[in-house]
Amino acid sequence: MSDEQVQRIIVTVDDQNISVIQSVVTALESAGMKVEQVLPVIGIVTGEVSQSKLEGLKSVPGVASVEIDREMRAI
Amino acid sequence: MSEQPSFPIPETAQADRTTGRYIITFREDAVTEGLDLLSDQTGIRGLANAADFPDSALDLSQIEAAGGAVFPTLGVAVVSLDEGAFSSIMTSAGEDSAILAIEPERTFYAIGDGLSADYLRAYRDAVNNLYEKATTTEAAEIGAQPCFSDDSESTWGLKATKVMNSLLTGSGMKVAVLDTGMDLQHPDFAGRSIVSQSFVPGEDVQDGFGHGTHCIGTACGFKDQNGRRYGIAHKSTIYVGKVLSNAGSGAGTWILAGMEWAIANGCQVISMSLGNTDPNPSPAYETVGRRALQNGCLIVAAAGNHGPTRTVGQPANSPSIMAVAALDNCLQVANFSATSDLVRGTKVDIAAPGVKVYSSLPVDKGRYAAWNGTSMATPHVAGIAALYAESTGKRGAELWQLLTSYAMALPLPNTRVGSGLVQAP
Repeated sequence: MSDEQVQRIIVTVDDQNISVIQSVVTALESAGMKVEQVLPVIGIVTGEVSQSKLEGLKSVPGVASVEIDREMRAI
Repeated sequence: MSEQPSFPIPETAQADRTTGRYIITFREDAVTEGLDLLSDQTGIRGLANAADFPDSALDLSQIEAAGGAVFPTLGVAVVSLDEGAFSSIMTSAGEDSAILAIEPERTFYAIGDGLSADYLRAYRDAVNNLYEKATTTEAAEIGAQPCFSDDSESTWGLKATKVMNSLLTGSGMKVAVLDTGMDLQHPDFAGRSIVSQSFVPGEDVQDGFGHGTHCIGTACGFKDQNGRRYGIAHKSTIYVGKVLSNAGSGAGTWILAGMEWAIANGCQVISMSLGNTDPNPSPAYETVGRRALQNGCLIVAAAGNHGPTRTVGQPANSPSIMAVAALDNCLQVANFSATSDLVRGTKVDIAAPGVKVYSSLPVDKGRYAAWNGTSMATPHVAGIAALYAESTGKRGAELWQLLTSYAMALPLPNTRVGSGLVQAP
């Protein structure tokens, strides 16, 4: 059951593929990510993925890193 | 129980403990002449000479037998002198002589783990004494820092950062403040050029928390209703990005969306008085920080209020994001200000006023308040960055360098204050 837990994630697109970010988005979606935001200037894609598919996203071409979405506070 | 050094200097040791021998220093290239002078005055001759030994390694048992030794490479000799010999040779020593100086040979001890408090105290007093003698009466005492105060003219922070000495206004610059939004109806901002956007689902830009308004006041505000100045880049265009909710927290996705917006809209500076306590840099924020710099945008973030021993949190701990520490009005680092991480290599980059910082609040929360935090220090750096950007045309990494180069060094560890107190151009 925990494999189906949905994680909110932040995907960093690598420097070589930031100019073709849409193709990385397509590949992420094929790998199971539900994409919510595409931020082309900074090269970030945000959305959700089920826990079982999270590791697989890291091998998608053009992906530099996959992190869990963390909360920040006013300090 | 206080720690003991592994190699204590014997308690009976005094600074003037001597061996009974004297060290003679010869004028450069005058060793032979000096030895002749010594022999004329005292009859002492036949000293062991290091040059006569293999590899110039003097056999020290020879010194006693010969009454002393010469070290020609060093230009010194060590000799046993009785009182009579000492008086004779003393009168021959001096600036114009082949013998420059004669001093008693002292015993030295290996210093182990630490220097004793007494030794250091005496050393410090000697240095201070020397400093006082050598300097004029106007010079400040070593270690003393001035204290600043709020007055009718301005906050203490704008004095300490020399903003009050600057004619720059941030005109033509775009400063983004990603926070809890802003009180868009605040009277102090009437007539200002403001672009605003909320990235918090279900909430508008209007600041229901206060924090955003306070930070914007410092970075981009001007004067309060009594004419006291509290803001820096007062002619800049303010980009208000609400990325934190009215409860003061925000998802990374909201914050990143705000960063995208600020960079895409050509902001030269982004002020981020937000974060967490995770000491590991985030690949996403580090990459975004780097891309921001490449796009001519400098991101400044609060180091964190979980100090003094815990280390800078995200996103400030990214190398490409400038981390700001908090100082009080006597330029001491605030106890709560997070520190650099010597293991992870993350750093505090610079420091700014962050204790009792007076700035604007939403009118319905009191209109003004004095707050503490690395959050308050951050917009000082952001506002001043806008002044440098206006004045020099520099952007990104070059703008970063201006800020750190012109920061005022402080007698504090750079792990706590980075390059020092930010200074306005």
